[in-house]
Amino acid sequence: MRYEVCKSVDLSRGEMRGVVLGRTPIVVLRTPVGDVGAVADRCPHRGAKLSGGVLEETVASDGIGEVRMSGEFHVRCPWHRFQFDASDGICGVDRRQRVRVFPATEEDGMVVVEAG
Amino acid sequence: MSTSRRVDTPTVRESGMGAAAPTTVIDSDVHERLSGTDVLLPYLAKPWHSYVTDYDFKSGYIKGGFPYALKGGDRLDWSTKYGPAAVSVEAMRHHLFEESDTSLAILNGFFHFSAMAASFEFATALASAYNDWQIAEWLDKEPRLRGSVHVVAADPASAVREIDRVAAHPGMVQVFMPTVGDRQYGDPYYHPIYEAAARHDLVVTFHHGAPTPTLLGYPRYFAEWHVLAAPQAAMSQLTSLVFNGVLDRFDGLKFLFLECSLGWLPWHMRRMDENLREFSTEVPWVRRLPSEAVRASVRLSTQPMGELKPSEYKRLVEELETDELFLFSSDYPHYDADDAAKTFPESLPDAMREAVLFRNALATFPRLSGVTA
Repeated sequence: MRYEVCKSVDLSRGEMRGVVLGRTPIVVLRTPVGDVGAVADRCPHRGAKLSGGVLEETVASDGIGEVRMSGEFHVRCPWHRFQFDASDGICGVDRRQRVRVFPATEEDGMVVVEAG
Repeated sequence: MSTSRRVDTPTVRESGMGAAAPTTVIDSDVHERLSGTDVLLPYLAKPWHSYVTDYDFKSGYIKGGFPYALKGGDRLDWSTKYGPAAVSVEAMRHHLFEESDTSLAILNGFFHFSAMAASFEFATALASAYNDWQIAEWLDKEPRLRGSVHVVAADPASAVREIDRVAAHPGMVQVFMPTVGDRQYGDPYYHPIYEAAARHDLVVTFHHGAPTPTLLGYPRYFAEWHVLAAPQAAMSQLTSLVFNGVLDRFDGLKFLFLECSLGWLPWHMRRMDENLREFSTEVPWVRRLPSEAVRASVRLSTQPMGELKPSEYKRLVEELETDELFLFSSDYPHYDADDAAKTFPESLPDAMREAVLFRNALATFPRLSGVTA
């Protein structure tokens, strides 16, 4: 099922918004570089609503003691700070902790999410 | 020193415990002991002799003074037919290879040079002398023994030179460092030591000692220290290795923690996993879940098993989802030394028993690759 969630202009860069599409709680987001995305609004760890967390750029490393910004983004859970990649939903190096990702696009000035 | 001598690789002998029983025992924690520091004089560079002969430096309680009058000491029923336990190769051979079922034993001594807080040049000279003494008096006299390269970790450059020098002896299987409480072995400062160990197919092995404090320092009683010092130090150093990325950077290297108890490991692995998920931004160089890295790279020796029944050991292995992490050890010659057959009886599944008694050691030490199980 495809849902028009909001007008594109109403979802700012760096913003996350909790919505319910059908019966599914979803976080719709726009990264600081302008891409839209959507993930389930429930942390697989302890069930917190991810929409209460933050959208951040992921820190990467090319070696011990070295850090740089990766150009990729994650949703950070408000409870235990687990971070879920905005594009694939994976929690860092732990591939078993994963939040569901939903297809999100922009069509005719609207943010569209496929869910359900 | 005779680094070019070949140590015959023994075929690990039958234990005589019956056809269905495991046939070999590899003991990963055995202590040889100096009868006195002056025993090292023939191996110690001349400029340092007066430190021992005139200034009365003694091995043993290197740092701060171990405060306890009552200590565990040695097992009381080991015969003294060949003199005190652990002081001569004859006594050790008798106790381990004749009176018990040990097939191969790995020495790590009592003299923790890396715990010396000063006089690093002297410590380095002592470590070299000790390594040469260990080779001449133990490894070259008993082919069922394997040895440790003792180094001064505070000076990695000298440690690397010593590893490069002594690793030429085929009886050496590990680099030894004490689990001290005032240094963090995950610090990149120690990378050259790990690089040298990897280059020579050696394991990096840790063991507490008298210089290892608890988090309360030295508690009021030895019993308290004996409960806490080893596991607290091992947990701390293991955590340091994990979060500083050492296990990822040296992913072909094995790290072995001796005599630090086992029961804490499942909790510790889960706790490290949880904290990596929570704080991965702080340590983005950690490439694997700590529990995965530990399963791949870290091993623990089993003694003291006095508080752990075989059924509890089995549950522990099941909780860890692998029987590859633990290596049998006796802790010879201490009072609480474990006997292989009694500690891991035939009531355990054969595969689990064989794993802990010898197969895990064979898989851990690259230099035991020629040993026939």
